[in-house]
Amino acid sequence: MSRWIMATIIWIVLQLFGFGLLLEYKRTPGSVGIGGQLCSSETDGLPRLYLFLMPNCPCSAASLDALDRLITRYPHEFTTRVVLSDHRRETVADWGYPLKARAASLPDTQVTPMSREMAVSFGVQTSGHVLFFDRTGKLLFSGGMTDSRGHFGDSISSQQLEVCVQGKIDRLVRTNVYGCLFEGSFYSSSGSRE
Amino acid sequence: MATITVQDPTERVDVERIQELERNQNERHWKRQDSNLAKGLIIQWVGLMLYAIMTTVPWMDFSLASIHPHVWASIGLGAAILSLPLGMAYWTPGTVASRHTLAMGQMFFSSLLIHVMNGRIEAHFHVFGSLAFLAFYRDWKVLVTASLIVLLDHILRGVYWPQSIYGSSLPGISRTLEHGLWILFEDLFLIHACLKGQSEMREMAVQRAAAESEKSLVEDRIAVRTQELAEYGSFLKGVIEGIDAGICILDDKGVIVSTNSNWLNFSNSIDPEKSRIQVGINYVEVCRQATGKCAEGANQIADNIARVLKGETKTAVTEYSCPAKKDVRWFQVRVSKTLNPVRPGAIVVHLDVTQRMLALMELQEQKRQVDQLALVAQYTINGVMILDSDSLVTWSNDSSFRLLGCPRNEILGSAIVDLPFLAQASDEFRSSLRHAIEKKEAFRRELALHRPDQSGVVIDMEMQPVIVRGEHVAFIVNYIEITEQASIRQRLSSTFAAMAEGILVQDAQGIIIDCNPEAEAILKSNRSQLIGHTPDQGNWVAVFEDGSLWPMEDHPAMVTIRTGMPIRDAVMGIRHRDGNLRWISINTQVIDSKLGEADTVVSSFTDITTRRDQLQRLDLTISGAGLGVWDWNLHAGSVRFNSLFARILGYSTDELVPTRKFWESLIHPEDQTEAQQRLDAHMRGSTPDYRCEYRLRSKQGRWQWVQVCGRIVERDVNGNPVRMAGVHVDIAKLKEMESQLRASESKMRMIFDAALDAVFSLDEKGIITDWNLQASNIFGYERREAIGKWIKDVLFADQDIVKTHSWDCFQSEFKASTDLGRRFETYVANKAGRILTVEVAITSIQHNGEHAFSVFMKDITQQKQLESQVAQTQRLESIGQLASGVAHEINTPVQFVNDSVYFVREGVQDLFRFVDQLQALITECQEGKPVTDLVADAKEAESDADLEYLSDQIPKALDRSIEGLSRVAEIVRSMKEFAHQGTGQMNAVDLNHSLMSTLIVAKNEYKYVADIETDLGDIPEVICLGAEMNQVFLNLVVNAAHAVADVVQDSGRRGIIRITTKQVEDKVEISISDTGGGIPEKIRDRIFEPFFTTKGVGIGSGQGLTLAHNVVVKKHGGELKYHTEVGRGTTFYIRLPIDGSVSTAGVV
Repeated sequence: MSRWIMATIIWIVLQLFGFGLLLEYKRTPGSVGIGGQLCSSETDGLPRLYLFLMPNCPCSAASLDALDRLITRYPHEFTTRVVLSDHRRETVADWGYPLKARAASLPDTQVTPMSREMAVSFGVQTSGHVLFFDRTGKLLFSGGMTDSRGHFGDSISSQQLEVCVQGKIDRLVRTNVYGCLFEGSFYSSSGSRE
Repeated sequence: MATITVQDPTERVDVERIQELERNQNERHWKRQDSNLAKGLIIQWVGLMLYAIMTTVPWMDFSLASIHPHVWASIGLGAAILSLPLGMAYWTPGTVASRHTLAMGQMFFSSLLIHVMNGRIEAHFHVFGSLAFLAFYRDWKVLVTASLIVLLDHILRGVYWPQSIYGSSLPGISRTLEHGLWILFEDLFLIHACLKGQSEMREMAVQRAAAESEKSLVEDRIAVRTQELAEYGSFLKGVIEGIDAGICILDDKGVIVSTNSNWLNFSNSIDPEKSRIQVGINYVEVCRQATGKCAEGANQIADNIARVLKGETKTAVTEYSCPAKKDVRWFQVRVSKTLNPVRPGAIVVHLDVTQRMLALMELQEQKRQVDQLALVAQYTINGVMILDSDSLVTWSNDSSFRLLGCPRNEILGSAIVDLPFLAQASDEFRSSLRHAIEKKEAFRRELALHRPDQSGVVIDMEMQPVIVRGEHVAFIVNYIEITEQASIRQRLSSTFAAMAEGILVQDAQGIIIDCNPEAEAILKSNRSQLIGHTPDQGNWVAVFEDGSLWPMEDHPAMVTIRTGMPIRDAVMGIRHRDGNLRWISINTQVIDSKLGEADTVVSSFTDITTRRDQLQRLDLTISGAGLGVWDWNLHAGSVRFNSLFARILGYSTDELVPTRKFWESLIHPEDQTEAQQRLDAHMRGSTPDYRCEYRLRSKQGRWQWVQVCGRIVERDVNGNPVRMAGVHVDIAKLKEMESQLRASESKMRMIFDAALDAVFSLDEKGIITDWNLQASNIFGYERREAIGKWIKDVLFADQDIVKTHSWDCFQSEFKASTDLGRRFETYVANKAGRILTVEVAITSIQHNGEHAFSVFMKDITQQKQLESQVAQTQRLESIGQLASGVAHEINTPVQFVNDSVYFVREGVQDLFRFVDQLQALITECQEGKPVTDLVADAKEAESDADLEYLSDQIPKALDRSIEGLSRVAEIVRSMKEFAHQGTGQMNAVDLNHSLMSTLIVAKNEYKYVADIETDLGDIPEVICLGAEMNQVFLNLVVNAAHAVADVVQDSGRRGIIRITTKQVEDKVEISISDTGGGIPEKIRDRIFEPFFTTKGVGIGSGQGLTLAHNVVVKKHGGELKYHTEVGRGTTFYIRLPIDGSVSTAGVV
């Protein structure tokens, strides 16, 4: 019996350790960077949302899912641009990730590859980073839409973004971004901002 | 032979077997479930990994980096979760540890699944499914473990990582609570299901154990039954062999197929050739071929066998005789059909019944003899019953029914002790009868009973046991009616017992053979002590009148025995062993004699001790009373006297002539007429007896007073007196005492009348029965007026008296009076209506068996007035003594009042001057004249008056004056209160106020020598004489001041006078103590005496404490005590009843 108790204790500790590792991984935010420009030069009369994703990041699907829910909840309230990057390729023109099709299917959403200029201009460093500008191009939200890596479902970050979308706040809101770091030529050529 | 007992299988089930089966079932079940759950876990793991991969594949680019963390978690953590449960299920299946480990693993897996599914609510159904899956264990503890894991997981992740378990970042405490309740809800059902499942498994174990038991039982039964059959076959064979009869079994043709050993003996005895009736021989044919005297019987046997074999009858019996070598033998042959349907045949049993037949013939002969004896028993006049060995009546003749009056059906078949007529017998009779029956003994008793027709009969019942060859077989009961004999004997016995005389019957040797109860009583010996003994062997001895022993041979009975002559009225003394002596009068008589010799003699005797004593006592009484007895026969004219009669007159008996004429000659001439008249009246019947006192002339010539009492004791048929008897009593001394008593009464009357106090007597109702001369003088009522009246109507009728409640006081004292005569004071009114104060003493006396009361009243009206005057004088004397002190007390405040008034007057004068200047100034101003000078004058006047000083001092001077006048007024008021004479009636008085007034009045007495300390308690007002109590307080305070002054003298020291009041139950206690020198022991007994004083002349009159004692004790019924210690001081304690209830009567 005592051996069983000892084995059980070790077993439980092992599981707690495993869950701890998982928790540590999923609750460690990525680098936020400077959070993008304070305003966007692209204005079309509607607020604009930028979502920067790395298609091969496992966390991107959760961010895209959160964006889908936001757009569904506030249709035609803002325009969206999903910016995809691929560190393995120079451009994203020929990539065929499932993520792109999903992003393209979202209403009022334009999918564009992430260019060097854009990366430098917005200063994002982690996949899943969202920038939300009001009608005047003022940055109101900078951060992730999930509260942990790759986790689907409601989150505090999404709710804060919703408040910005609703126009109930006119100051900048920052949240953690849970996702993969953008790597490759964007920063290697211009120098890392981490 | 084994015995098989059929039981309910479940009752015989071994509990240990049930437990073993249950344990085995559970173990198998738990192993199976461990295996199932382990397999389930593996399937779930695989499923989870597939789910994680499938849900992330659409986003994957098949690079390692793109693998979602959920995939890694499902693989890594899933493997970790499954490791221990799978190991336990593999190595230690069916154990408690494996069950609980698998349960924990299942629930950990649920946790992982929920996380991988992003906390979606659908994932939580896995938890409920897991619990249901675990319920298959039928072990509710597993559910507890699993539920605890789930709850712990929900609590931890709900707090620290809600997104993992609820899919939301919002804290999930309420959700955790909700989920926990749902889990508990499910647990209730699952635990119930587990318990029920365990119960069913236990029932299955019981049923299975019962089935096993039943199977074992049946196998046991089969074995036992087989053994029984074998034993039974052996038993039957033994029985057949053991039967004293020849038995053979025939087949359906009559051929012998089997025989027992006795059959061979039988066949040998009747068939010397032996081989003819052995097995294989046709027995029917053998019988048919029989010849000689046995042929007839043999043919009949053959016929019977044929009939049985044909089925015409099942059994046929025949008996026949057959001559043997020496005698004739009898046989009984019974042919019976065999019961075997497969092999039909017959059983032939040959039984030698020769002995039975011989016995039967002998019995028939005995029966003939018995029938003859029965005729005798049947027709005898005595009742006869025959009881069997159990005492049941088996036969009874007609005389029994006639004698007992019972019908036949009530007697026959009943136990004799239960027969109805014996219910009338005593318990002792029935008990003896039962005892005789039990012991098989003879019994004989007489019994008186009533038949059902209520006719009485006495029977002599005799029961004899019948013993045949040493064995008791029956009882024979014989009844003889002895009603007539019993009646005669009863009458004689009753007469014998009821005789008032003692009876002894003695035989020729003097031995007592019978006695009656009176003889036992007189001789103080019971029957057993008398019967069989001679009189000299008893508890007594016979004595003559002179006390000498009476020889046995000279006893009257013995003399009669010897002589055959009766003896009459012999007086014999019987001295018992306890010394008691009784006297008897004996008569003897021969009862039976033969040839002049007495066989039996009866002695009758009477106890004459009492009569003898009475006669002696009467003689002594008459002699002691000095009664001269006379008996006068009027017809004969003769008179008989006793010796005392003669002695009263100084004669001897012989000297008195027994005639009426002589008697008449002795009577004093002055008394003769009355004596004769009274005698004639009695003889006429006018008076019930003759009583008279007259003088008789003695022998010496003196006249002797005698009292005569007599009565006619006999009259003839015409009512004329025949005989008269009476007594003469010498009353000379009585006459002399009567004379002395009259003289004494006259003397007492003179003393009574000469008494200084009023003395009168009352009966129990208060009616005046006597009244002396002084009473007439004091109250004004003459003796004749007062006697016969109620005392209230004489002395207490006046209305003023009624108001004083004096009658109530007198009445209560009258009722409580004793022979000691307590004294009290009260008021009465005399005939003229004047109220008198009297001191009364009532004495209770017994007179002629009735209570009477002597009342002594002393007129103390004048004395009371004097006492009152003395008290007032004493009070005035006290005031006089205090006057100088009081004057001094008044003088001091008057002095400073006077000074203050003078000051005020001068100040007012200055003010008036100033006012005058001001008025002049005002006038000048109004007239417009120059006022410069006037202003200067006014200022001067103001300066002279010193207005500021006056405005300050005048009010103070006026206050001092008011204070001084108040002190004077208080002293005067106190003096007034103190000097008040009072109303003479008790009133409610505030004693604290009285004490304070007294202290003010007496202040000058103590203020130079002592300080006053008061501790006046909260006491109620006391009903008392206020003025007199003031005097008491003053006396005690002044005494205390004087005592202190004697001690301090001129030393400058000061003593203390302490006064306290408090309530003690229904009284108020006042204590006045001083620190003086105390009361010397030698004068302590005299301090309350009048005019006793230790003070100098003019200082004390010696009446202070006397008055205090009189007021407190006598007038208020209170207590006045003191405690003193020489050198330390004295304390006087006064206790007064609060309600004024004075213990002495009246308020005077």
